Formats: sequence, structure tokens, C-alpha cells
Amino acid sequence: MTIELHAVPTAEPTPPLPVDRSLRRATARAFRPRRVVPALVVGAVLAVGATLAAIEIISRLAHHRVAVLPVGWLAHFGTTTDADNVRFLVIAGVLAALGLILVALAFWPGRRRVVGLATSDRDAVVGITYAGMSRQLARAAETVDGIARAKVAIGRRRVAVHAASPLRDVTGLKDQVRSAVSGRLAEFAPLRDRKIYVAVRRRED
Amino acid sequence: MRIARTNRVLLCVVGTALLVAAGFVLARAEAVRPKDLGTAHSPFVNASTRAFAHDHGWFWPVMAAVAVVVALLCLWWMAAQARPRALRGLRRESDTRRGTTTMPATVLTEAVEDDLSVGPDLRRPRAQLTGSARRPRLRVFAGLPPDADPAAVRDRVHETLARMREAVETDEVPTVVRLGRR
Repeated sequence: MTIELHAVPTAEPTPPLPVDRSLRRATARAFRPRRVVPALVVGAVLAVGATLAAIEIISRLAHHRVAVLPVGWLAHFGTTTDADNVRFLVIAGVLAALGLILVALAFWPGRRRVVGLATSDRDAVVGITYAGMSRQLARAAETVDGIARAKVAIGRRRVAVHAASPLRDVTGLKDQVRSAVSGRLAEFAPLRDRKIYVAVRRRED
Repeated sequence: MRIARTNRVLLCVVGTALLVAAGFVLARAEAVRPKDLGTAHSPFVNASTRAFAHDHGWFWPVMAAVAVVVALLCLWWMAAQARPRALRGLRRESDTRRGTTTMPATVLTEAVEDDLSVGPDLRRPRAQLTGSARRPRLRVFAGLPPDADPAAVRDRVHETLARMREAVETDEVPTVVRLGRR
């Protein structure tokens, strides 16, 4: 079975929306990733380390040492290993790499999973998940006569529609699908324009 | 939104501290400032460092206190990752000399959910009030059926929020509405 794909980028993106930058920023802030997993990992590591250090120091000050850390080995390592030893260079490299990763996680916005929608309510931000929008647009594509099913992938700046048709002749279908998806997308009034790419797979005997 | 900002700030702080530590270790290794940091061909924990800790009796108690504070802060940070605590009540009387009227938050959230449930365009709406009694914030989650009417959804959300603000007698209730597959 051969598959013929008609991937056609739209000549025009979805119509520009009358939204201001403050609404777009507020929506982006409301729906950006919360960095929960990195926070839990870093918090747990620091909590465990600090707790063990506190137990070790306090027990020593109380002259009733509870050996939870390899203090002897650490002291021997620190007092007998020169500062220019390659081990310290490795330690510095690891610390720097971890530090860069955490700073990058802090500043990088993260992968968005919500499409911000325009709203006239100045005190509200509205968004629809990528999965929810995909389903809406797929249903719009499936309303076109000759389209059996469709899958839609949402990106930050694009919408990719993969539609399947039981027909052998799919002439004109891609434009109809593009029109249906574009119209449905415009009804939701997303804050950011997206180009719509349509691929229609036709039936081959 | 606030926990997102807190997490990013704290991740930046920890990351920066690690970078500073890495820089210090490298500076020692490269003997950048040997008079201040020590020479490269001497142990990382040299005699002067050990003498400092030994000669100052406050050193280890302060280290212990710092470790305890760090541990508690980290436990707070981890606990903060849980969903924001729902508000219990809203204060409706700004002048407390006249007494206070508190409206249970569930009255408002259930009203919002019932309002959003009208019509076929939103499924299983869920509302949650967070923030403080004086500065509440509203979070709304709702599902969209595949053939939902976006204009009707938008109108329904706007009308519901307008009625909600009228009920709490304030125009400022920051709201986040998240629609999806439910």
C-alpha cells in the first residue's frame, strides 16, 4: 500500500488577535511549568544532607556522637589531599554542572502544555490544554466530508493535522480540512498565531 | 503561579550557590588568591582552617544551627509543593468595627461550579479558592466536550465570574481557568 501525503503549509497564519502583551505575559506566567519535580529532588537532597549534618554536629557537641556521616574519611580526605588534586577539579566540575542545570531550570520557561486564550476579563486568564485543543481541532477536521479520522499535534507556533480518508481522490480535501481547523481554532481565539499544516492520507488499493 | 515563582527563585539560589562553591574550589586549585584562599599545593582543609574552627567556640554551634535551619526550610519547601491550601472562608465586611461576616468558601465554589455546569459546553467544572480571606484567588478546571461552542464557553465563564465577583463584593479576584479533557 502506498501512502500519498499532501503536506501543505498554509499561505496565511490564523488571523491576528487583538490581545495586548500584558495579557499574553499574565497567561504565560499562570500556566508555565511549576518545576515541582526539581524542587522536590533538590529539597529532599538538601533536607537529608542538612539533617545528617545537624545530627552529627549536635551529637558531637553533646559528647555523645551518633555516627551518621563518614566524618573520619572526609576529614582525612580534606586534610591530606592537595587543593590542586584532580579529585577537587572533578568535584568542582560536578558542582558547576549541577549549578548550571538548576539555574537553567530556573530561567528556562519550560515546555508549555496549555494554549492561552483571549479574554475580555482583565482579572482572569483562560487556557486550554494541548490535549483538549487537539481533540477540538481533530473533531473539526473530522466534520469534513471524506475524512474518516484525524490526529492533531499542537506546538507553540504550529498545528499539524494528519487526516485519513477512505477515498482514492482527495482533491480539495486538504483545503477543506485546513479551513475547518482554522475556523475552529479562530473560534477559541488563542493568544498566539499558529500555522496549520495539513496532511491527508488517501486510500490506495 | 506563586509556587512556580518560589520554585524558580529557590532553584536559582541553590544553583548559584553551587556555582560559587565550584568557583571557590577551582580558585583554590589554581591558586588565584593564595594569600586569601591558600596555596594550591596544600591540603584543601589546611592548618589555618582547622585552627579557626578550634579557636572559635561558636563555630560548630553556628554550623549546627545553620544545618537545622536549612533542613527546616527544605521541609517547608517540599511541603509547599502540595496543592495550594483551599481557602475556608471569605471576609465580606471590610470595616471590622461593624463586626465580620464570613462566607464559607464552599458556598462560593459550589455556586461557581453549578453556574458553569449550566449548558452542554462545560463538563465537570471544579472551582477552588486560594489565597487569603481578603485577597482570594480562584482556580477553575473544566472539561470541554469535542463539539463545545467556544463562544458559549467564553460567555458562560465571563458571566459566572461576574456573578462571583458581585457575590464577594469585589472586582479583584484573580482567576485562572484551565480547560481540557475531563
